[in-house]
Formats: sequence, structure tokens, C-alpha cells
Amino acid sequence: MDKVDAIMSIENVTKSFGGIKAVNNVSFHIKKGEIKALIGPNGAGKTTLFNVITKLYSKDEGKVFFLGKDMENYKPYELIGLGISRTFQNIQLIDEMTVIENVMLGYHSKMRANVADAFFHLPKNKKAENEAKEMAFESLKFLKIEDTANKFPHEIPFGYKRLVEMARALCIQPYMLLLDEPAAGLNESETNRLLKTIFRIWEQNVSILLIEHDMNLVMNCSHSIVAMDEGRKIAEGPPSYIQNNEDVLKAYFGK
Amino acid sequence: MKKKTFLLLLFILTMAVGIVIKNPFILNMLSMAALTVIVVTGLNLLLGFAGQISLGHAGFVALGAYISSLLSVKLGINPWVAIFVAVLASSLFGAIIGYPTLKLKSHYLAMATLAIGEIIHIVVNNYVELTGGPQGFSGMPMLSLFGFVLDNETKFYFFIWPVTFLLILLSINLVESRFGRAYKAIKSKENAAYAFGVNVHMYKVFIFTVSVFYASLAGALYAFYIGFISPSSFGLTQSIDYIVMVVIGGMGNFFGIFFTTIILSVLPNILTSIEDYWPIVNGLLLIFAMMVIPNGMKRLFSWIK
Repeated sequence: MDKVDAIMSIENVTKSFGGIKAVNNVSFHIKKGEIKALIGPNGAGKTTLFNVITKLYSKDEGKVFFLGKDMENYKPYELIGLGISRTFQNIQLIDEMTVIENVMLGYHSKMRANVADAFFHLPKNKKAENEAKEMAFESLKFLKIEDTANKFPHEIPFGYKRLVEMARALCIQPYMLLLDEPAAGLNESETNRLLKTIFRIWEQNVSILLIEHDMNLVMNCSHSIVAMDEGRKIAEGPPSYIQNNEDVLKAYFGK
Repeated sequence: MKKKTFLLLLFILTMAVGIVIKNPFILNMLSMAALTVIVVTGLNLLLGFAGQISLGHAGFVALGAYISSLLSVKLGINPWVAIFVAVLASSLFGAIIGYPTLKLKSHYLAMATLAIGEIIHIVVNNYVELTGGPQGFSGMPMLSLFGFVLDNETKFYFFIWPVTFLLILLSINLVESRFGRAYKAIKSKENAAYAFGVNVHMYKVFIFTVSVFYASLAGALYAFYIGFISPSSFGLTQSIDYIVMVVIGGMGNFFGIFFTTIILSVLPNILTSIEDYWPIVNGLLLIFAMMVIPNGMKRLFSWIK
């Protein structure tokens, strides 16, 4: 694949814990405007790779590029500034804040009010707060959950929490969205809604990388799939190819 | 009701109390409570919002008190300048000490801050030539404001309470900004804080510094109000008292903490007959509060948004 088309390139990434190579020499690209899925049985190294990409883990070898920039020297809190946003597998909403406040947290990095503006509630702070609130509300509206804005996370159903997390991730209008098992814990109708939501996000020119166990969702929504097993990439290609790939079947069914 | 509206009502009430009550004993008690409210409001930012504990806050109160007193008495510097320099120096000290310390989490952070508080206490207690040691230190002049000397309980009351309310207002402002959201994220979902662009460690150092600012300012004002300071006012007992006030007040709840602090600092003065047993009463109160109202006074003030 041409590197120019790629929004993110993962090149020969290796990460070991003790003697175990959780991610072993994995390379692939995510094209601009693509929905890419990362699949594999438990312990395949998907989450480790995800944590390497989001800088929560440091990698042993290899490189990750985002829009041509080497991500080596970026800190985990600087990714959002590059336009990489994410959701979490285990919901990471803050319980003591309302839904809209949670989504406003997603706009934090774009707010320019400094601590002096905040302490004295200067006009700059007021303006930034209003703008953040507007953006957060837009984001909720986009996902059609604006009626939950003033509720607290514990007052809304689980499926909605997932959507709130997405609204928070989309608040800054990122170039790339990382979804960590978005369908985990959702029932069928919620998963269908999620599928539609993912497409609607993609229509906004957001490239998406998702880790997912729900094969139905993965096969229906992704343009390209990377399959991993025991830390290695075992196959990459469109859903139709992955579905019939022997190595993938072996990894899942142990034939 | 909005927080700031309620704060304004409280302010008016406090001023009215100052006008109606002429008893210097009560006014003095309430002014001392105000000084504690300042410390606890700062600690609330650190513990209640950012979720980071400090078991050494009495040490930072001591820093403010001793540095300002020494500057004023030994070098003859103007009290206000002395207070300003002392608070600045203490905050700087807080930032420097906070930088490595706040890389620690929960129990380890508690131990480290406990040690810092104890070190300050020991230094103050043992550096007799400079601080007077256990005998205490005195000779600070009265504070005066625009040629108006704060020489009695009433005057100090009308100085310290507006300052206290201003400091509470500033902390409410901070919490209602993007920084407040960031600190709430740091407290419960640190990974979310990272993901949305919060430099978690620097944010922790900053809020720690702010809370040291509050503590040292209260310490410095206390020193000039009472005119006498001794190490026994700045020990581990006081550090724990501050934490108890934040916890019973309802972690992060400004008004729960406001009233809890006033009640807990006034009570020992009223119940003088059981003075010797106060630590026991205080401990039992904490156990009782934790069993019956684990969220402190939060619910009582949940109607204030």
C-alpha cells in the first residue's frame, strides 16, 4: 500500500511482557477514510497493540506514524491534539458529571481559557465554556441522544453510555477515531444502532480503527480487517477474504 | 439555586452575624473558623476534586505562618509584604515538593505528604534559635488596612470573612471551568483524562500548589492575627482534622465543607468541659459519620447546582 494514502501506519511493532511477545512484529496501514477492524481471539495482542498506539504502553521496537509524523515523541495526552480520539471498552464516563459535561471534557484540548481566566471567570472563560457546550450539544445531537444531556451517567442505559463516549470522542471532530470493543455488552438492537452510528461517523470523513469481538458487526462495517493471533498478524484483507482465510479459522476454531 | 447565589446569601448572613453579635469571644471563634475554612477549601480542591490526598497540610500552614512572622519580626519587613513573600515562597516550595511527590499514588502519596508535614513540624520545633522552638514565636505587629488597624475581634472578623468568601468564589470558578472537569476526570478516570488532552501530572502539581497557597495564606494571616505561633498548632492532628472536614463535608461539596468546618472548629471551644476528651469525641464523630453518611453532607446540599 502506498504510504501517502495512509492516515496511520504501524510498522514492525513489537511489545513484550517478560519473555512473552504480546505483539510480535506487526505492520499494517489504515487508509484515509477507511474503517479498519482488528480482530483475534482473547490474548491475541489486540488490546496491547491498541495501548501501544494510544501511548499508554511504550513499545520495544517498531514505529507508528500518524499523518506522516513519527509518534515516538508524543505523550498520551498529546494524541488528541493530533486529531486522534478514542472510546474505552470499560466505559470511562465520569459519574459526578452530567452527560453534557462529560462530552465537554472531550473539547478540553481545544479550549484556550487559561487558569487565570478560569479563576476569575473572565470573558474568555465564559466564551470558551459556551463554545464547548455548543460543540458538545452538537455532538450529542449528531448521535441523537441530546435528550440525555442533563442526566448523569448512572441514569441512562448502558447502550447510551457507549454513545455518550462516542459523542465525547467526536466533540473535537477528530481525523481518526479508535473504538475499543464498542459492541461489548450491547444487545442486538443496540448493536444495530451502533453499526449505523459507525457508518454515520465514517461519512464525516473520520477514519476508524476498531477492536471488536462481535463478528457480525466487524464483517458488516469494516472495509478491511487485520486478524491477529498470539501477537502476530496472521491475515489482512476485506471481510470476504478474512471469512474464508484458513489461518483465521484455525486461530478461532483450532482446526 | 446556583452555587454563587447561595454563596452571596451566605456572605450576607455572615456579615449580618458580625453586625449583630458584639461578643468578642464568639467573633474570635468565628474568625478562627474562617481561617480553617480557607485551609480546608484549598484542601478540598486537591482532595475533593482532584482526588489527591495530603496528610501534611498543617505543615504548609506552618510555612506561611513562620516565614511571614520571621520576615516581619527579624527583618522588620512590612507585614503585608511579609505575607505576600511567605505565601509565594510556600507555594513555590509546594510546587517543587509536589513535582516528584505527585508521581506517587494513594497510600504512597499519603505517606510522602505525611513525611513532608512532619519534617516541617520537626524543623520548626527544633530550630530553636530561629523559631523559638516549642516555646513559640511572637512579636508580630497588628495588621492594618489603609491606615485602619485590625486591632480587635470585630475588625478582624470583617476583614477575614470577605477574604474567605473571595477564596471560596475563586475555587468555585476554577471547578466550573474546563479545569474542574479535567480534575474530576483525574480523580476517577485517569485514562479518560489522558485521552482528552489532560497533562495529568502537571495538573496534579498545579492543584497541589494552589492548595498550598490557600494553606500558607491562612497560616500567615493567623500568625498576624494571634501574634503568637507555636509548633503545636501545626501538627499531624491538625492535618488529619482538615481531612476529616473535607470528608464529612462531602468531598468536593463546597457548602457541606463550609458548614462542617465551622461546626468542627467551633465545637471544641464550646465544649470546654470535655476538652481533654475532644480527640475521642472527634474520632467517634468521624466513625459515626462514615457509617451513617458515607458521602458526608453532600446530599444535604444537593439542591445547590
